[in-house]
Amino acid sequence: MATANAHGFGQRYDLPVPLSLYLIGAGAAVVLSFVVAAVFLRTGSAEGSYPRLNLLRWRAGRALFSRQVGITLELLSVSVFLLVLVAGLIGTTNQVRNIAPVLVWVIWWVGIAYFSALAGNIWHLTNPWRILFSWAEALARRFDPEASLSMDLPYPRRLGVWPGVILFFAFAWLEIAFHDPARPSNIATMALVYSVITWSGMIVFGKDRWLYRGEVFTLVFGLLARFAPTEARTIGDACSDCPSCGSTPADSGLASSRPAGAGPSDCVNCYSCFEKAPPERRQINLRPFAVGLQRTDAVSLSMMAFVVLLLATVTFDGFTDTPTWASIVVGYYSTFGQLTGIATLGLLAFPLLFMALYLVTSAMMPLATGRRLPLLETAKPFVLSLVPIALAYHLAHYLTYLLTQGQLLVPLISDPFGFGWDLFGTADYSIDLNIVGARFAWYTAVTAIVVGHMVAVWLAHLTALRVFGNERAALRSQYPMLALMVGYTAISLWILAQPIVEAGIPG
Amino acid sequence: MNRTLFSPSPTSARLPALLPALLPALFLGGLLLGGAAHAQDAGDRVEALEQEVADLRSQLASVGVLIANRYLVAADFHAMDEALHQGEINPRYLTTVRETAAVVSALHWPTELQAITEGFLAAANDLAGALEAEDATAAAEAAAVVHDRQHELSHNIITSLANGHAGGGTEIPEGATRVVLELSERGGATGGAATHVVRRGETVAITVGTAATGELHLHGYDLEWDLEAGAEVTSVFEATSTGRYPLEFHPEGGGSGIAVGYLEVRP
Repeated sequence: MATANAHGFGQRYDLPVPLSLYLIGAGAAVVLSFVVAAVFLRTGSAEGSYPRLNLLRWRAGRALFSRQVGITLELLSVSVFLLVLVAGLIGTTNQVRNIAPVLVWVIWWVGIAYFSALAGNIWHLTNPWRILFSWAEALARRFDPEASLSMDLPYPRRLGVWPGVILFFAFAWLEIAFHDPARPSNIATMALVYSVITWSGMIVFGKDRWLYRGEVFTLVFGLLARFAPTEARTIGDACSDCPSCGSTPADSGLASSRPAGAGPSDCVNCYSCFEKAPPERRQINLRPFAVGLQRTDAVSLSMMAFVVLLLATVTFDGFTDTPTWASIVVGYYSTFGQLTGIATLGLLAFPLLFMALYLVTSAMMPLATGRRLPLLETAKPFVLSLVPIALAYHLAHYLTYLLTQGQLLVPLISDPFGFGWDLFGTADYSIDLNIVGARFAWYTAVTAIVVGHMVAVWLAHLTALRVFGNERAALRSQYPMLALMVGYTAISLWILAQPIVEAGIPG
Repeated sequence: MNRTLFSPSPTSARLPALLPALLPALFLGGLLLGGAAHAQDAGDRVEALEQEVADLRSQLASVGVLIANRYLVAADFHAMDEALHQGEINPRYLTTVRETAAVVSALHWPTELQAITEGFLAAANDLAGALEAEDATAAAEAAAVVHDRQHELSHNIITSLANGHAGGGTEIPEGATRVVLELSERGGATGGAATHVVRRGETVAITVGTAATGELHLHGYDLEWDLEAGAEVTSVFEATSTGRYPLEFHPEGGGSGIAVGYLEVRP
């Protein structure tokens, strides 16, 4: 059983998407790509502005984003964090009788990703490592107003978000390749080790500086939240000396939250700025989906690597459920009796393959226009346009999983440690598998993938207009990118059309 | 380094025209991959054959049980019991006991008769041991037990046959979709972990014949069956939820689970 789980925890019972839907999805992706491209040939504009609606204009909006709600969320989040640690350390080792695995792998890792992409950046408000460090700082200041918990050493610019890249790889390895990621005691150990890493980073470089460079979940959920229809905006040039986005804009995960060289401007989703700004300069805006992925001016090399790694691991995670993977690893499994080694290899190979394909595509873009541009000048800004494809696949892949396995929370809230308690009378609840039907899941999945693909094509065209200047060149430059995106979307659909099999289990 | 990659080349002008042609090729590649994934229809035909085999096996099992009963009755444990209690050891007895035990243990018994069969075999073993040692007292004692067990077993065989259960242990409702699994000694499914397709709302009758002892678990539905080596279990349930659910065998005494099949419930 332990070797069977490609995911952190639990199982997906999704039926493969039927062939007809798969064909319709793939066909629609190809046709709509050209429709989007044709529309942009006529109406294209590199303008980065978009309609916004400030929620803080209304009493209800101010109430929703008030200090009280924030503190409640923080208390709740820290309680859940402590609950996971305690359940992991003293609770039962049975994965489905302990609340830690479902909280971490379903509610947090999948649930927060969904929320970040579809609603907004909730991780900043609920990040227990940030909250606990802030509380400790506030406490220290009580005794000595000058006290600082951080050494505030200068962060080496060249380090960029590489710490985040390495930590994300480690996390993905634990989720996908490690043989027992859902064991409650392993979860507690991971959380404790990560706490040490994160708080050390914060102590050495300062809380905010580390959050946007080495706190891998701030980077992941922040990236997904660029797709979300809400943003936290600080009006005016509030953050020239901001440790997160101001002083060295290109080295943090927030790079491109401010357009470079544009003079005094707003700053989006940088909470360091947001928290310091006076109330009249703060906005919580509703905005169209995906526009947060437009501002790609200052993506650093490390951030590009981070995005490619994220995309590749999402795809690899799905790939490990397919019969193809099962047939690849069957020999390895019969020799070694585990899959960790070959999954580690796959986890290394996929990002390298993705990066190679992406760099080749980036090299072909200026070639297609007959211009010369350094490779990274195209590779860096275009990388964010691929995010919607990965996101759509992720949402499609995990929809039923989240809705069915998430229900495990109901019985476990009454008996979080598996001690046989029944605190709220829900301990006997069993999962309702019919919460979503197979047809609903199929249509949602294929629609999400086609829409994600269109958004990606649209974003890439916006970026092309900015990078290549005129509409003709922009359009021509997008043929290689279009090919890459169609291929990527086809792979996502192909994985969804595969029957899920448990690799490494002798038949 | 980047510069050299970008030296202008005469082919670069033709690239944009070539690239749209690449797209259909990519698309076709995707289609081929997907088509291969769906070439599972062959699996459905195999399933129909498996069902026929299961039906035949069920009939054969009834015949086997009847023959075994003839042996049990013909052995005349009643006479043996009485003679032994009077201290007579006939060398023929040992042969009779061994022969009967061999027939009983060779047969693939229906689930509801397994426990009682094993009881009979244990007693027969004791008796054979006592007869071999020419221990008249022990043999008399053992013969009484064998006699009792034989009666019990014969009675149960007749009841079981009368109820039409001898093929499995559970009555299979009309119109139920049969799913048949055969597990090897190591617990794997013979012929690999196949996908069994049913429609939502159907009644599923799953029959598992196994050469391994352990527990079979249908994920999602969370149904569990205790399996004993050499036995056959049939169970009936409603396919109420769509999805693809692994059937996993957990060998007795732990060890990692083995995927022995998948139940696909389609809408």
